[in-house]
Amino acid sequence: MRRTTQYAVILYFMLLNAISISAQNDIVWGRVVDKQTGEPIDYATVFIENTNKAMLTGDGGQFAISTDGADNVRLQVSFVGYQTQTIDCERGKNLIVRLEIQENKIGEIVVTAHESHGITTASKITRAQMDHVQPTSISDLMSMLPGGMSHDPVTNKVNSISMRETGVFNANGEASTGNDYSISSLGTAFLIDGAPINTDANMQKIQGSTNYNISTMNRGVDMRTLSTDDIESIEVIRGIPSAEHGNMTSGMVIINKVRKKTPWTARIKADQYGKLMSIGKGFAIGKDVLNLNISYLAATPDVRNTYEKYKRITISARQTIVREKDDKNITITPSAEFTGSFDNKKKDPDLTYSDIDEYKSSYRRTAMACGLKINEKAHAWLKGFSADFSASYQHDVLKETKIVNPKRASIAPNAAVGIKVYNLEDELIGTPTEASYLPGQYQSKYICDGKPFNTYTKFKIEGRNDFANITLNEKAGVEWNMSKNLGNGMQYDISLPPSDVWKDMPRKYKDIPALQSIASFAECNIFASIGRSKIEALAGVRMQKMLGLTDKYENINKPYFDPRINMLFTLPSIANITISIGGGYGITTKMPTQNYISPDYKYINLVGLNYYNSSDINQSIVKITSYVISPENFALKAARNTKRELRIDIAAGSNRLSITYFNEKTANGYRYEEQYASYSYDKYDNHEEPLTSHKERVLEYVSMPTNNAFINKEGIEYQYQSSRIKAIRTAIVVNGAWYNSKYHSKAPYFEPISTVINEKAIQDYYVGQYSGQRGNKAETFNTNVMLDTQIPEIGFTFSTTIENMWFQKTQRLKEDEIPSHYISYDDGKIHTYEKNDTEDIYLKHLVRQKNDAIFRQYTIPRATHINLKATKKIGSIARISIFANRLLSSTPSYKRDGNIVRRHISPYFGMEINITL
Amino acid sequence: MRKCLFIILLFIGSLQATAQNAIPTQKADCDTSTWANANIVFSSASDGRYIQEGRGHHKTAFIAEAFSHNGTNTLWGKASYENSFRRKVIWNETSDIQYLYPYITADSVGGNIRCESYKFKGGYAHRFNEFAAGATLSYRASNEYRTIDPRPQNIASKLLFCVAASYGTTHIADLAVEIGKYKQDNSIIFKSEKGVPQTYHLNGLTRHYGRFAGNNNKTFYDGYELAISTGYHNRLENMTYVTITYRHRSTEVILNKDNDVPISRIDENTLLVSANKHQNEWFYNLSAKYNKRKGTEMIYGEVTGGNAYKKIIENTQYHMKQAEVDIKASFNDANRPFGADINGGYSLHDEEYLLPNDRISVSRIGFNGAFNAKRGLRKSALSLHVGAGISAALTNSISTTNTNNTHQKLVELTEANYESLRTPEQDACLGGKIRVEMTDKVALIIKANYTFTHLSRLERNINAINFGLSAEF
Repeated sequence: MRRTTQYAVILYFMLLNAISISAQNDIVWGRVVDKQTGEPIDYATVFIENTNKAMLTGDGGQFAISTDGADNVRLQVSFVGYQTQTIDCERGKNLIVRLEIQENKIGEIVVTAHESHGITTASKITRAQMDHVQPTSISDLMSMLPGGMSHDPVTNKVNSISMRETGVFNANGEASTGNDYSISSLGTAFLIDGAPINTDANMQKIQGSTNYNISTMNRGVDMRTLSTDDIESIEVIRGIPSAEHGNMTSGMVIINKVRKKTPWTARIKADQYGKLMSIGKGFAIGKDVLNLNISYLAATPDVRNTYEKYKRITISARQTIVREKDDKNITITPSAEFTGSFDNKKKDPDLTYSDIDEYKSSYRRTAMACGLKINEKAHAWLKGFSADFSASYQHDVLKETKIVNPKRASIAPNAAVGIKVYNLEDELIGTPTEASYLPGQYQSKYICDGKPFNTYTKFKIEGRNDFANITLNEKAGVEWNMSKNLGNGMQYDISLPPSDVWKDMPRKYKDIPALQSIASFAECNIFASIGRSKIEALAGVRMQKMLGLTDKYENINKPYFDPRINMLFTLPSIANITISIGGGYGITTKMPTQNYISPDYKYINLVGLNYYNSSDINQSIVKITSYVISPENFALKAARNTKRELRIDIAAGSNRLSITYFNEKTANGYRYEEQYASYSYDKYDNHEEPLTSHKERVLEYVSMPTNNAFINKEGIEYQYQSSRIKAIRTAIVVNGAWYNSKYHSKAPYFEPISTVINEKAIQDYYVGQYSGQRGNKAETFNTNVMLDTQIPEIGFTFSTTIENMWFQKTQRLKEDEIPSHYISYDDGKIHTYEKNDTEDIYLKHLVRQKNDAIFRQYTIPRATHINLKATKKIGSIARISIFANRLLSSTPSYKRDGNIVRRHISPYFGMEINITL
Repeated sequence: MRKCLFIILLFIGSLQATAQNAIPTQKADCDTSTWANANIVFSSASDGRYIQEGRGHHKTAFIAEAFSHNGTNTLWGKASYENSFRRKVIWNETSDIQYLYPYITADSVGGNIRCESYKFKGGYAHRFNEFAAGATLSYRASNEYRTIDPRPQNIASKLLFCVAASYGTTHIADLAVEIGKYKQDNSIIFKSEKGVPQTYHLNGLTRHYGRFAGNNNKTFYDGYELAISTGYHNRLENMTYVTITYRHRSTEVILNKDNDVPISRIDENTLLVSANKHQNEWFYNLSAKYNKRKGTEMIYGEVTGGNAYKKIIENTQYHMKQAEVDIKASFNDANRPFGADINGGYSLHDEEYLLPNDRISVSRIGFNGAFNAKRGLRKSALSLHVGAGISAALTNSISTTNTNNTHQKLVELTEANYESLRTPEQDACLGGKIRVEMTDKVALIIKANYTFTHLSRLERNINAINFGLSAEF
């Protein structure tokens, strides 16, 4: 089956090439770009007047249209939201068509994010729009997407992306943390100038401490680390992406950096959380351009807490080399970027151990990338070839020094030396000796050293065929990806662990094998005009496969094929109203990370004797039996998401309404689950010589990666963008979304019961396995209205945003109270839970008593916030802005469980100065 | 032209909700003008009068202003960023104490306070023949905090929106309505593992809310205000301007505990009257203000059976009356290189907590005078001023009732505040300003001011300096 598909793809391209050989060379070539930003415009319509010849621009805004033998033709180039341009030209000409945004007729800046005009559902955020939301990082821009609400910059924890979903939240509407459904953010791909940010080898963590929510492991890109100051535009693909893009489930964020000549620009931002400064310039070197940017952020999530700070510096250099030849254009785009966070010693003067307690975290990422793009002018079918190469090296160090005060007679969690260590087969792999106590107070030093290294290579060819009213743009390519962590991993003295409940052991990350994957794709973009109607289709398939894994990973070792199709039907314009109806279906696949493939070993320590003699510590005896467990799950599969959507776009002049319905289903997202097993140990009968012991068994668990995270997402996203109302100089944008998300697991799961019967904790002997779903469902509906008022004559811009969350509903899914099975300590096997087990003195307690109140649906009523930003140009070089989010809020009180819940909201505010020299 | 703009700016700078505040286009003879300026201002004081406000401060501010007047339309805006530091603030962990007094969160330790504040004010006005209408929006937000225990963080914001209308060109009647929203999120954290001081929710004079003393460290202030102002303005040769403003404020003090418990409410009514008259080189001003603030406390029962606190009753316990009368005369002649101001005033401060009865009352009288001189050079102008003043208490009294619940430290605080209110005071000031036209379009202005205040009874001196550097485009 696999081979058949590969042959079919090869045959398809051979056939297309053969057809193209007969094509004539009476062609007008060109590129369509945005006049303001110089960015290429894909999918613009190029039409030869007085003929039925039309086509869409391809990747990079390129087009090549046959004149059918005519020496001179009149081209009409149009794109929604831009002014149509008409150009007289001769055949064989190579043009650059610069389209101007319709709003720019009066020299204004468009300050709102807009729906992308392409065939895939996406939001486009340009530089001007970024300037208008005073971002600290890319994270702040996500509020511009449908369904987004503004939020304060959060710099003390990882900023994960959330797309087209409610997120898991509690009854108070606060986001719940946890990694159970982190596939949402892990499955969102980030691409910077064609190079992906690969986080698969990130393994930084500081378990055992709840103070620092800093682990990026299995959570995807931490958007805090992405400065916005050198970005030209961002496209957030929410819908079904092109087959060219992969290793994702939710969607992707495509970041295009500034690559053009610019004056010196500087930005200074101050808000209640920090200060940001950046400078940049685009130097013209002949026909080439060199862009340099430096950005520095110093943030304090809580200004009172000097213990916790976040600093970020980003240095970026990008060169764009363009060589135009008779038969081809060659573009080479080398770049280098360094991003680092430098948190030095953080001491708190009020802490008792201020001279000792210390926490330091640093992140340094160096990335280099180079793209080569060749646009063929002379070849009939082949239109382009591109190659991308990138490599990144990250050095993350997390250091914590602190005083630990363990409970009295606490045993070193992983014991010191020579304890009994068994493997999963219950075979002894160590020499039994006594374990040790932790000191009453000690200084612990912990280091987590991670050095994720990633390389990426991609080759792509593009071709084009024109048949009568049909244009085919084909592309195919291959990719190779490698991730390896070269760090020394977790390091500490195992006899002095960071806490007395520490479960891990030091592990060198560099000992973990590298992850490798290859991918190939083939895709065709079909454009056909039927009369004045247009039909577009984007259909493709992508294959992904991991390399170099042990054969035990049968499922992961298989190739995964992602078919994807998007269609868009544009009806003829009537009275300047154009209606487009589209839809799509696609599968996206995210391969597991290094941590899911090679999870950390877990240690189970079973205490056989703990005799603590406080008067003479030397008389104390500790006997412990330890198991080392490698929780690899060889049945693990790649996480896959099935996306379906329908959409309608209505454009009337500069007014545009887009409505999209989507349904997404991730049935096998990654999450850790507790797996119970029975372990034997030596239980000592006395504490005096001669010691006697007998074997006992007890149930314990380890967390194992599984595919048990199920996420169902559906919703309706909408955006209306008006033309500017001249009388009030205001454009109105209304956007929002209704999201209905379900986060659950259908797989049977264990849940321990801590009840103690006859001095026996039930969970040590029997643990119930429960069927049915568990999880949460949530529903949100929001509408944002943005009024963008511009008075360019006097340099004033005001934007007022009214954010309305109509409701937030959340409900915990009803769970089974009676277990379907249970695991027993004596044989370690899973038994069916029979009816008469409810009579057993122990087993009857496995029937859980769940209060109905916890399954009740909680609805948080409307919350309305008003945000304001005012910008004034001062002279020709400076622009000063002041912003306040939640300047006014209306959050009516409501009743829950008989109590009145009052809500109050604090504003977020600050100021920004932009200087252009 | 400059004079005209100056008058308009005075209107804009007014703190009252007057029609002139929202309509700066009264002067129809101002044709077209657009300007902007950027200022850096530094100020410092070596000490303070009240211990709850701190023992001195320094501030640095960046201010940008822009103004555009074109025919019948006027648009203006002002934005500022201020970074300040107040020393040794004790018995007050709340921002805007003047606004919320006496219902503040406090502890006996206190310390230095840092503050960043952002302000924005903008307005638009349009004239339709003799009728003019305008609107102003102003917003102030601040973030006050301390980085050692006790560590308050107060995020305070105030939004004011004013609409106004006026009729007439020579004899002008105006009316303005202003609404406002105030919020403050006040929370205190402690990092010390060695024990922390108690947090108190003060109720006025020597009283605090005993039930919630301890570790209830989060308070939220939610308030609104409404003001109405009317005025008459005659723009004849001897200009007259009279305004009456009434303002009502109400603020709830909410404890972030068990679904947010509103523990008290501050209601305040203020009446302001101001009359101004220009007569040739003379300017006269008479202003009077009467302010009445009361505090209503909510009494809650115990938490029972897992239920939140239940409100039993509310009681208005705190009353404060403040009255002020000021009269001022100024002489300024454009043709003479000097001018002078003289003013005198009377004020009354009367505070009372009903049960148990505590009271302080102080009335004061004061006078001051100032002399200014100015000189124009080729491309610059220099002005200097010097002044002095004296004030003292006419009457004063204090009475406090000792009960089982009386907190001795709060008695000491009340007595200290009383001493600050009644102390005789002498002050002197010296200042100057130089304006240099750098180019046709750019002017540089440097301002400096020094004030010395001696508080006799407290045996304290306050030295204050202000320094400002402005560039006007």
